[in-house]
Amino acid sequence: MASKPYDPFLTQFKIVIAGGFGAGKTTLVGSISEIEPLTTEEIITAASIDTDDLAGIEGKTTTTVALDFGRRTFPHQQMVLYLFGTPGQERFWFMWDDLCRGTLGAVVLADTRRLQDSFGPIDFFERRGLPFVVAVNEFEGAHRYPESKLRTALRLGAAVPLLLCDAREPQSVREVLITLVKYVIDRSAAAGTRPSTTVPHRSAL
Amino acid sequence: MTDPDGHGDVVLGAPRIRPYTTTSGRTEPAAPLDVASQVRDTGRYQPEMFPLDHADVLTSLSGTTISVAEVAVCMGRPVMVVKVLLSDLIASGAVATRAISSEPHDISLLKRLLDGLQTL
Repeated sequence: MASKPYDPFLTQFKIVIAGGFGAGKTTLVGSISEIEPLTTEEIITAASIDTDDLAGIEGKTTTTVALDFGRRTFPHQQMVLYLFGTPGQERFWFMWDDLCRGTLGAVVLADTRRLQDSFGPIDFFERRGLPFVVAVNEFEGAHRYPESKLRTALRLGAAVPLLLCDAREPQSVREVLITLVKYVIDRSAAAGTRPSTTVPHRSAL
Repeated sequence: MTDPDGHGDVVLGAPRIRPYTTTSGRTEPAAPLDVASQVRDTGRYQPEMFPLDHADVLTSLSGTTISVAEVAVCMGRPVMVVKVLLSDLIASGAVATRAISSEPHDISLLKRLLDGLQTL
């Protein structure tokens, strides 16, 4: 077989976009991706999955979870960035471990109408020492809160960047990603090692 | 199966074929592959030299470098199944990969990514 010219392997990065159902994860991915966001699926094998459909079924069971993703290539830098939108439900957190391996960092996309949906992802990333930023998706008609109130409600550490965004706007999403990458650089430069995090009792809310 | 309206994160129900049938029951890939790992056809083997599912993977690569997730989309198969098939092809030398490192990212690389984002 004749040798074909191949694309080089680009340096690849992965960012996880987490947030509750309907927070705008796929919209955010689509705003920055050079391809239409694609949906693939992953098999979940679990001893028990707490859903009504499977209640009463004993033993191991498998189901599939949709995973949305997009891609952005930076030809000059010879880099490619993948963005993965994750299922927000608590019962799929065990899948996040796999997804978060090798991840540069995460964006928690928050919706002020359902702020509690962000607690789970924030807890998860804090406990694993994975750098993350909180981006509040400003839905039309949703109440605007001052940053201090949002920080308090989310029990967010002072160092964790929090910003408002419009997931539909590429420039806004770009700003979110820039904030995350800068934060990761600053953290790495400052610490050399990952700083220890104290985990507040967010679930007590 | 994903639901047609695309609104649900989760779809329950019996798949048309059992997902691990094509992998002979294996649920873990032999090679460490990430969902974002890039893979490409080495061009050393023809697809028809492999069993059907492996051949489909090789055909879906068609000389380009793409991620495991994108292969899964092309194949319409779950990511883990595609990882197992790809790991077989890597072991036989038909596919090459460069996996995502689990090490903390290099600051100079991150700064290059930042440059890329800032010029978007």
